[in-house]
Amino acid sequence: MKNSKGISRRRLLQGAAGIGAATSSLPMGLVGSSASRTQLQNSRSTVPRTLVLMCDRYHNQDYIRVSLDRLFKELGLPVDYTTNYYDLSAQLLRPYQLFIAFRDEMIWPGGYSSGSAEEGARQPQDGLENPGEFPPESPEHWMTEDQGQAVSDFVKVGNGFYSMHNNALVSRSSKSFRDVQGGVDLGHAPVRPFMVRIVNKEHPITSGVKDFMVTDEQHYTAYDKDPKNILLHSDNLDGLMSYETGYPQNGRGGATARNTPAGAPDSAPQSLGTTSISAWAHEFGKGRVVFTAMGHTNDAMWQPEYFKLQKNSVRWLLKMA
Amino acid sequence: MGNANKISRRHLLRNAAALAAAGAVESGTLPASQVSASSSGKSNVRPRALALIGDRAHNSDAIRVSLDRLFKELDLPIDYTTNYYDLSKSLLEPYQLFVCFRDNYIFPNGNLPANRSQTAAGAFGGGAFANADYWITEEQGQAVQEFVAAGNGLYSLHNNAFLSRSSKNYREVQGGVALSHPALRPFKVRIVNKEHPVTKGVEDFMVTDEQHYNVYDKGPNNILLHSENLDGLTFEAVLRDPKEGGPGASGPPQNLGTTSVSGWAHEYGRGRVVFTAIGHTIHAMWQPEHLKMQKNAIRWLLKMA
Repeated sequence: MKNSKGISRRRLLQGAAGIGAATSSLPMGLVGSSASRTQLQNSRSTVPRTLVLMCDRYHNQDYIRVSLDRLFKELGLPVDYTTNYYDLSAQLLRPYQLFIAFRDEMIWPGGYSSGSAEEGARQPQDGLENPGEFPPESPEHWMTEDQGQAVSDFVKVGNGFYSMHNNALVSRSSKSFRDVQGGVDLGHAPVRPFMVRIVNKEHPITSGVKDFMVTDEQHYTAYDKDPKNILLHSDNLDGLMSYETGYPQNGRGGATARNTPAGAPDSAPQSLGTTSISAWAHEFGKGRVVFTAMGHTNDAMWQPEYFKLQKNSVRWLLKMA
Repeated sequence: MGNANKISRRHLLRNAAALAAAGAVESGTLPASQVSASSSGKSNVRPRALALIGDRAHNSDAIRVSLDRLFKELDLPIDYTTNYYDLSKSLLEPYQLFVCFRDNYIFPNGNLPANRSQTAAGAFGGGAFANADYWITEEQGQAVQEFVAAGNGLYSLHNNAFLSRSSKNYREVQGGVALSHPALRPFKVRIVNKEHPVTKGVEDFMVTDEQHYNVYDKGPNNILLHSENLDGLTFEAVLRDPKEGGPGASGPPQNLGTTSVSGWAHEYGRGRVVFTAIGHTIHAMWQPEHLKMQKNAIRWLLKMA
């Protein structure tokens, strides 16, 4: 908020609005209209704007919105939301200074019979009254290389990209996205407690943040760039290391224990041990990228130390810190 | 589709797109500004639908998948939004059909997964609904009323009758209110008015779903569907809504019996309204007879039938 004297009354109202109705703010419809171009010119000198792309089969947009509404309210920043993955483009991103992606790589246009209503509500397909009519589950990738390139270009010119939770899975489906995101998700254990350790305490993002326990999915990721950029490790203190993946740790494409469109696993399942890489931050062109792996539930998102780290991340991405 | 010769290239492209990418080409309000700027009147292009979807217990992902298939098979475009606070007269302006598939609650103070226990919710200082707020304003309810009264359609799906709890204006156009529902279990949906265009060619059907119990406020002749638990399981509910207080807020459980009102259709001003209560999962949405009825409902709402 360096340029606070340029903040318009409208933006102040947005920042001040209550958490529920709030933040959200600028309707998506303004994007691309001539009106928003004018606002865009102004916005460069006022409060930075954030767009969130969220929601997939396993991650209800409702809890993501609730989690991020609080984050942005406490930061005093506006945030817009979309679940329309097919809209992601250079044009969509143009009015924004920060892009948050919080969803995986898969869509299921042929339907699915589990995880459909609330997360965890599993119903065997056998019990359906129309088993013959219901198609087998078959995921597809949604992201195009053009969309990955749009994110890459957006960051290169000086903007920020915050990749959250399961979003490193998208790097399985787009090379240009993986290039900017910086790594890939290998798989994850079920929701259980683990410890998150800060491995770089000198970074602005981890400043003032302590190691913490969280009950969440422990995502195992591979980071492609300089290991010095890694900020967090997660460790299962109970020594649970039964989690295995078939996704190649150095690999591109392939499949895992999860359903993915790519067919059979590239390699035999291998244990990933008790410790995983859970966060990184790097420069990309003139912009910045952060990935943090926690966030399967609202309570994980609001774990106090993790929440502090998210605030630091947004500030660093927007070069406010 | 009476004006097929006036279909624009843009709309053709939209309809030609693949299932997933299709139907759903743009976010909620983006088309609004474009259409209002580029078309001289709403009636001379293909009808357009906007769906407001998603709540704590209903992932918008599943709703989108369900409706994408419906609108693809109807060969009609559909836009989606999850941004409930954007619902307004101007948001609805470019559309002829408003599909509303979400409940009345938001949880700005925290939102545990819907399948977590109440005990777990204690970590946030209360039961699951202790921190609930309503999202709809009377202005938003009024906007839907005026939209329909002017000659457009409202398709209210599944748990959307809960929204009538929180807005008098919305209830006035929607026509009823949800009381409560038991867990997912099989029940029979019976067509009680076989003469209506919405039920034409649709057979009674079994479905495994939440059986929602509703009250309908308008003429009983408008009721199209009853649902009945064939196992004789009744549903006893405390008709409690902590936000409402008042009579019954903490009263004794009421037995709602085995049979519920689960679909209706009425005229409202120059427009039309349909409510169908089934739809907690994709497989319930795609139950073949139910899917057929949804198609009929949309055609009737758009006066294509």
